[in-house]
Amino acid sequence: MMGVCMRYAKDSYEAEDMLQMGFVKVFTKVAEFRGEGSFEGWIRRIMVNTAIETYRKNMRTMNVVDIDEVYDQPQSTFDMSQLETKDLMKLIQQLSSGYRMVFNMYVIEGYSHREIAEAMGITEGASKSQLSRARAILKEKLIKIEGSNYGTYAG
Amino acid sequence: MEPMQDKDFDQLFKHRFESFEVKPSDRLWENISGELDGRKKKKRAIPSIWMAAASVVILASAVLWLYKPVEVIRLQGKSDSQLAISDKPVVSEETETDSEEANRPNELPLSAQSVKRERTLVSRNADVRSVKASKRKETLPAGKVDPVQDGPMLATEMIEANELPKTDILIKESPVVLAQHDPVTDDPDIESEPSKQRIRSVGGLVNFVIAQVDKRDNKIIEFRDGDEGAAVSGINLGPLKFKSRNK
Repeated sequence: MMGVCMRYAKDSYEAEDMLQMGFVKVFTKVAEFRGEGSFEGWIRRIMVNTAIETYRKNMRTMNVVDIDEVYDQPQSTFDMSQLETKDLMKLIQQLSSGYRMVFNMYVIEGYSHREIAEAMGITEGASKSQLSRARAILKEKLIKIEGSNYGTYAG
Repeated sequence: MEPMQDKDFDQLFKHRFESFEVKPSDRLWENISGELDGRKKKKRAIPSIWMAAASVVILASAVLWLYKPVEVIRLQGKSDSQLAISDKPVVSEETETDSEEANRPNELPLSAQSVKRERTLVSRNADVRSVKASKRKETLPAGKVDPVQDGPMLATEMIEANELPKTDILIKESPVVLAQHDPVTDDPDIESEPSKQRIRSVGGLVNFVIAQVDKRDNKIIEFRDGDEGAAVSGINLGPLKFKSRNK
């Protein structure tokens, strides 16, 4: 579960806070678990919900405006096997919180845009655009990393 | 190579992170169990503490606002209207008792006492006078009669006996009169104070209402009528005070 929280947090400290909050919820609400689906999946949903709550709280306190506008969308391939998962984790954590939330929820958790929009209190369109921007930023960063590691990848 | 599709890109990430796990720090489990234990206590303990603190604050502020001003005014001699009213009939009866022995209904214990004293004084004086008169009358025409001489002898004894308590009563009486006299002289001053401040504006009205509640020199809020309507001229929130100079 720490891995899940890590994806939603900007660093491991925030991830641990999330994990703690999530587990406290798990223990206090364990009686509400009805055995539908796996227990791990249930815990995972709680963790994601905790992450969403944290995100909304943070939004209220500090309104982070993302100025990371991406003008060119590089379409390239990456040799992802060359990268450690923790490097990818770093990239995700470097995303601004809004992008990170949408990317995680859509790509890894498999939420629909409508679900994301509902959970985060944004429109579906905003969810879609944030996802594409998040993808673009990640791709750009991956290219940079690959470039620094292996030289310019001539595909 | 063909440009990577979003689906593939997503799939890569999903594949990587689906089973990805990180070991959290060892301290975390302690924190979680600690939070779970403390949760039940916290929810009930903290509100009661806050309620207690709030009640203390309310009580303290109530004492500060309501109790102190009354004391200050008593020290300054601005007596309550009740006291002044209760003193009035005492004084009037006192003055009237000299001319006639008052048979008034004694509503107030204070006036009743003084009236009683006055009565005894007057009656004793009357006794003395009558005795003196009888002495003179009886000594002049019938000075040779023995049994009559016993009368004056008794009378003089009575005079001596009566004169001592008489002076005593007079001394006791005088401070009572003085004490009762003071509030009477102060009375017009107190009554004239509110009439001086005439209500000309909303600020004046607020001042009047506050003056009824807040008896301190510096009111909790004070307004002054300026050229541009009423403006706040003074604030007194206990430790925080403000008062404009040009009043």
